[in-house]
Amino acid sequence: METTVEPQPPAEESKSSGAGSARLRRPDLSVLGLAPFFIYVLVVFILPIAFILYNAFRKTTVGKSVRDPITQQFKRTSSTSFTGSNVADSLKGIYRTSLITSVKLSLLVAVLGAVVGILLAYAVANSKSTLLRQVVTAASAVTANFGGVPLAFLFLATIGNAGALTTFLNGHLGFSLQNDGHFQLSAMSGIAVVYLYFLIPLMVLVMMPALEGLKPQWGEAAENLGASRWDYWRLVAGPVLLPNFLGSVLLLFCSSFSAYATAYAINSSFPIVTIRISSVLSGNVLSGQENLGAALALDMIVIVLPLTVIYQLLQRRTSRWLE
Amino acid sequence: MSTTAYGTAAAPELVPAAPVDQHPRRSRRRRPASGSIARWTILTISGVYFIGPLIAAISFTLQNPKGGVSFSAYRQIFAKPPTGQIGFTTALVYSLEIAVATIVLTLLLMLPTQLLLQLRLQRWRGLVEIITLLPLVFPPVVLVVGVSDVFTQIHHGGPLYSFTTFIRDQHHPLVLVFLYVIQAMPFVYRSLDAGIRSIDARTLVEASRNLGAGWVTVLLRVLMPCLRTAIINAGFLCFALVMGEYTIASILLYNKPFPVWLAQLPTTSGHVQAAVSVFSLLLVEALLLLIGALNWRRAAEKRG
Repeated sequence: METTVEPQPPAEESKSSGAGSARLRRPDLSVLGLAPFFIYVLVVFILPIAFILYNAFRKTTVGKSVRDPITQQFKRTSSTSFTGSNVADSLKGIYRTSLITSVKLSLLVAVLGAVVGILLAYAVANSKSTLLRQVVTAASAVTANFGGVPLAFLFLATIGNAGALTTFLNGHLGFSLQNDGHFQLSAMSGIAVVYLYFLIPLMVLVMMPALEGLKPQWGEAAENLGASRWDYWRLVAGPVLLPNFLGSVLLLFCSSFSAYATAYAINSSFPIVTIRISSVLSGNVLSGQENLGAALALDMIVIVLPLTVIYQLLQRRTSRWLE
Repeated sequence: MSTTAYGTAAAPELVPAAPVDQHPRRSRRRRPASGSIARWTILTISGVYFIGPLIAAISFTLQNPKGGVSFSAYRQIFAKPPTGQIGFTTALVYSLEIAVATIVLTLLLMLPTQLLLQLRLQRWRGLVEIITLLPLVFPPVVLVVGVSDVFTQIHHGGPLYSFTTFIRDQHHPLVLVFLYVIQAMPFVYRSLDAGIRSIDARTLVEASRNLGAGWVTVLLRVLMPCLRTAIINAGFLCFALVMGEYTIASILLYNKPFPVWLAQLPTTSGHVQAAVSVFSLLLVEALLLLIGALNWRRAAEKRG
C-alpha cells in the first residue's frame, strides 16, 4: 500500500551537518517522518477520489430471484459490470442542463468578477492613501471567505421577495424588482449577484500584489521612449499582467463552479451540477443510476482539473516578472 | 482615459518641486493622475455593493412587523428552542468543537511534516506541495461523493464497518474532522510555509541542539514560538473553514453543525435567519480583524 512512501536511499544529505555526520551515515530514517502525511492523504483523500473513478464506470445490475436447487432458498444474483453508461447518462437530460447551467453561470461571474475586481484593485493600488489600501485588503480577505449560507441569507434579507430593499423600492417608489426590474434572486442573475460578492474580493486579493509589482520605472522608461499612456498599457503593463489576469479568471471560474451552499440556500432546486449531485446522493435517482453521482463528480473533475493545471502554469509564468 | 486636463488640478500637492525620490511609487503619480473620477466612481459603487446588503440586512432584522424598531429577532436567537429542536448555542458549540479538533489534527499532521521538509527533506518539498494543493482541484461535493461511495462499499459486520460507524457518530463526527483537515490543507500549508521560510530554522535547530536542547525542547520552546503568527494564521483559516462549511456536513446528514442548523431554520422566521447571519458574519469579521491586527503588530515590531 505504501509504495508511494518508499524511502529513497539518502544521497547527499549527510554533507549538510558536520556535527551529526556519524548519525547521518546510518540509513536516513527521516523520510519515515513523512509517512503520517502520506498515509493520511492516501486514506482520506486519494481513496475516495479513486472510488469515484471506479464507481463512475461500474454498474450493478440486480438479476431475478432464483431458487437454489439444493437449499430451496431464493437468491438474488447481482452482477457488476464496467460500463460507460453512467457517464453517458450524466451527459443527458437534466444532468446535461445542470452542467451547462453551471458552466454558463461560472463563466458569467468569472468574467464579470475579474473585470470589476481588477478595476477595483487598480483604483485601490494607485490611490494615495495607504489606509484605503489596508482597509480594502483586509475587507477583501474577510469577504472572499464569506460564502455559503449566511451570505445567502444576507441577500435574501436584502433583495429577496420580502427583503429590505425590495419592500423599500416597492413601498416608496412603486418599483418591483421582479416585474419592473426583471430581477429575481433565485434565477441566474440573482445567484450571479450573490456570487460576485465573494468573487470580486477574491480577484482583488490575487491581483493586488501583481498590480503593486508593476514597477514605476517601466512606466517612466516607456514615457521617455515616447510611449503614450495607452501604449504603456498595451505593450508593457498589459502583457505583464495578462497571465495573472487569465489565471485569476480561471480561479474565479473554478471557485464558482464548485460552489454549492450559497446557491442551495437561495434556491434548492437551482439547476447547477453541485445541487444535482447532492440530490442524487440523497437518493433522488432512478434505479440503476446509483452511480450517477460518481459520474457527475467525474464530469466536474474533467472540467476543473485542466483549468487548475493551466492556472498553475500561468501563475508560474507571472512570477517571473512580478517578483 | 483622456483625463489629463483635470488630473493635475485634482492632485495639486503633487505638482511642487520634485523631492528626492524616496518612494519610487510616488513618482508615477506626478504625471497627471489618470482618471481619479473613474477611480472614485469604482470605489463608490463597490462600497455600496459590499456595504449595502449588510446595512439592508441589519435594518431588515431590526424591523418590527408592526412598525418601529425591534430587537426580537436577536432575542429569538438565544431563546430556548422548542423541545426536540437544536438551539443556537448547541449548534455553535458543536461547530466550535469540530473546529478545535480540526485545528489540532491539522497542526499535528502538517507542522512536523513541514519542519521535516525544511530541515532534512528539501527534495520532497515539491511533491508534498503539489499534494496539498490537490484538494483545491476536487470540490467538496466531489470529495463527499467519494466518501459516501467508500462507506457504501464497506460490508456490514467487519472491524472496518464498526470503525466507520464510530467516526460517523452524530456525537463525535470524526469523519467531518478528517475531511476538513484535507480541505484546510492548501491554506494551512501555505501559511505555515511562509512562517517556516521566514525563520532560519536550520540555524535555530543547530544552535539549540549544540546548547544541549532535546528535540522536544527545540520544537516546543524554540520553533513553535518563532512560528506563532503562522500557527495562529493556520488555526484561524481552519476555524473559518469549519464554521462556514455546509456542503460536506449537510450531504453526510449532520444537522447540528452551525451552517446546517442555520439553513434548516424554518423559513417563516426569515428575520431570525438574517439576524444569525449578520451575527455570525460580525463574529468572524471581528476575529479576522483581530488576527490581522496581530500580524500587523508583529510586522511593525520586526520593522521597528
